[in-house]
Amino acid sequence: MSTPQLTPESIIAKLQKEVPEYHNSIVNDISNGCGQNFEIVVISDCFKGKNKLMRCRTINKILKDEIAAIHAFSCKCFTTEEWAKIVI
Amino acid sequence: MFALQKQLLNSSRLLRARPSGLSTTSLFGASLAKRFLSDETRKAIEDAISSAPVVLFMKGTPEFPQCGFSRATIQMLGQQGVDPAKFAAYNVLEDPELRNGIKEFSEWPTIPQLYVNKDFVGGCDIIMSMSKSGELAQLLDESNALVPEEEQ
Repeated sequence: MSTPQLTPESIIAKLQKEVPEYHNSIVNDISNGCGQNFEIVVISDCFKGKNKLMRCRTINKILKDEIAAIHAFSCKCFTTEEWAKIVI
Repeated sequence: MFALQKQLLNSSRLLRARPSGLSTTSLFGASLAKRFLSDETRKAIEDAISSAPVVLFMKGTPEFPQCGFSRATIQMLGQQGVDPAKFAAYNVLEDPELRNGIKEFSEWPTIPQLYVNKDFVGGCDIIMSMSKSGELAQLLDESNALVPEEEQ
């Protein structure tokens, strides 16, 4: 493939730029080196009042090209309020 | 959520009852490398989604999942006590047209994909968090997709 290798940094940069009300994100490359498997957590208040499906769709849309280029990715979306309860 | 705890041990039933789900029947005849969802593909997917109350598009079969996400999803459905008679699985690896078509149909980029009563529920992450929160049990119960209690 001629597409440049994805890195957690490049994904975070894209999320930062395109997710509305971006608060924070965590991106882990869990592919053991091949760069094809990412684990993503996005925290933004734009998820307020949206169900999980709608939240993931928001991220899927933003990362459409990236997702098409990799083998596997997992995505979790939280609002700042929900996130605060998880990391105490 | 209440009565559902009892059904937690049912997982192996689901896995055994439909060894390969419906996956041995190919949904489409000749696989054409089309970019956009054709009417035939759309129709075949709609038929598949209507074929059972709970329909999973997965990689591999319930017995031999060929992807960690598909494996995790089938296990969660088993743990919830989904009635094998109300469940169908389609192996996207057997059918390139289904594999690409279902992504476009659901507007969802990844496999597995779960449908309950023809509504798209989500992929592995969504099912996982719904399973933890009890929402999945509630949804399946309301959809009458679980093994009846008398049969326990």
